[in-house]
Amino acid sequence: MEVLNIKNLCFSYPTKKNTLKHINLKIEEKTFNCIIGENGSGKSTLLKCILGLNKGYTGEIIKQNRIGYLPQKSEIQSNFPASIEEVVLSGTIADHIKSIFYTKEDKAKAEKIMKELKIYDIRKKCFADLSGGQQQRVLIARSLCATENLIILDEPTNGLDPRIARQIYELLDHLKKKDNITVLMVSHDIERALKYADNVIEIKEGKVVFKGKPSDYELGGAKK
Amino acid sequence: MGITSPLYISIPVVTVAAVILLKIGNSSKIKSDSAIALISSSSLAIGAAVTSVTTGMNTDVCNMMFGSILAMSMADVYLSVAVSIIVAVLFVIYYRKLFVITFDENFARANGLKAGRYTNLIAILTALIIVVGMRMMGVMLISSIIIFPALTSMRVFKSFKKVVISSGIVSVCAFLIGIYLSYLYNISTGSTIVLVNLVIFIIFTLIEKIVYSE
Repeated sequence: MEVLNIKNLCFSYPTKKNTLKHINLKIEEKTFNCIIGENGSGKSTLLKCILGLNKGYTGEIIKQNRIGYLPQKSEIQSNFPASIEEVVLSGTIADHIKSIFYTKEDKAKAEKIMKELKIYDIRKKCFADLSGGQQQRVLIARSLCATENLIILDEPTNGLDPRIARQIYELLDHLKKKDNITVLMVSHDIERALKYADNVIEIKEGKVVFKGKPSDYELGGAKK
Repeated sequence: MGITSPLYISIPVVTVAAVILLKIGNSSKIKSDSAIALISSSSLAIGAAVTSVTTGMNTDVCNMMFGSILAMSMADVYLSVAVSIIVAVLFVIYYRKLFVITFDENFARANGLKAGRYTNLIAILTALIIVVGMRMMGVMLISSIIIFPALTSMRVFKSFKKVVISSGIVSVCAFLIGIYLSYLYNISTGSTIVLVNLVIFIIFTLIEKIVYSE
């Protein structure tokens, strides 16, 4: 079954026409999907359309459930007074959007996810004081709070050293296998994307130019 | 009472300016810190130019620049109390959403929050606080009482909730101590409050050094 189905998606920015051209894409559940492509090829734009951050696209995006999102790093976060607990808990915001306070269920959910990602013991620490890898772990926990089964990540390993980056990939792989989470991420790290992903999607100039298994991609690359 | 309070004019003007600042900041061509410098210095210049052709630099202008809590009329006091209550209540009601949006706007929008609406709310609440505070602290010193308590609290406390509560306590304490000292030694109120804030900031920084040095 697919958790995400994109049919004939086209999108233009006011300043840049045809950023995405007729994208057709199905994401099957319990799979690890990596979107690769050069800068400016439309990868992040595609994610933003899926998440509803870009309005005014044509075509159809069928989502099964709510999506957990891990955006690219923002500057504010490096100087923001927030504990890990508060950041993870904020992922549950959409569950009871009208309520003034977090509910017991919200708190239990956040606690369970923090324990699973092994950040429960440091939950009182300040988010800004953490290392880059730990911060991403916290943001992954937050995105898990926001969804049942699909998380979307925008270059989560950017700026991390290779060893920590590998741990992030392993964590995502673990979540897929153990919790049946579907992962869709944009990555610059083609080597690792090919190693961990079930499906690779290459975008070039707003079009999907490759979609399939990593082994097929490597073969195709060798032909070039 | 005769003269109407400047607050009735300054509240709408500052609110509009806050929303404009937000819009400029979003349009990425001018970064928001440069936009602030642009608007604040231009409006100060307009103010100074207008005063020089009308009344000239008199005590009223000086009060506006450096604040004078004693120059507040009863109407000003009621208005300040009302605005403070409104801001505090709105902050509590929207606490969760304001946290998510300030921490990570894209995440908030992906979760279906109307981010624009809440950033406007933050801008308007801040503007209201500034206008009310301006009467007491003056144009030149108002930014300090907005910034100091939060920065001070961030030295020692590491969660958003604690920082918010601590900031409230710190600013009220600094205010009361400041007013008392200024009365005692006959120093201008606004500057005394800022200096008390500075002292508390230094104390908190020392506490941070001691507590987190292990």
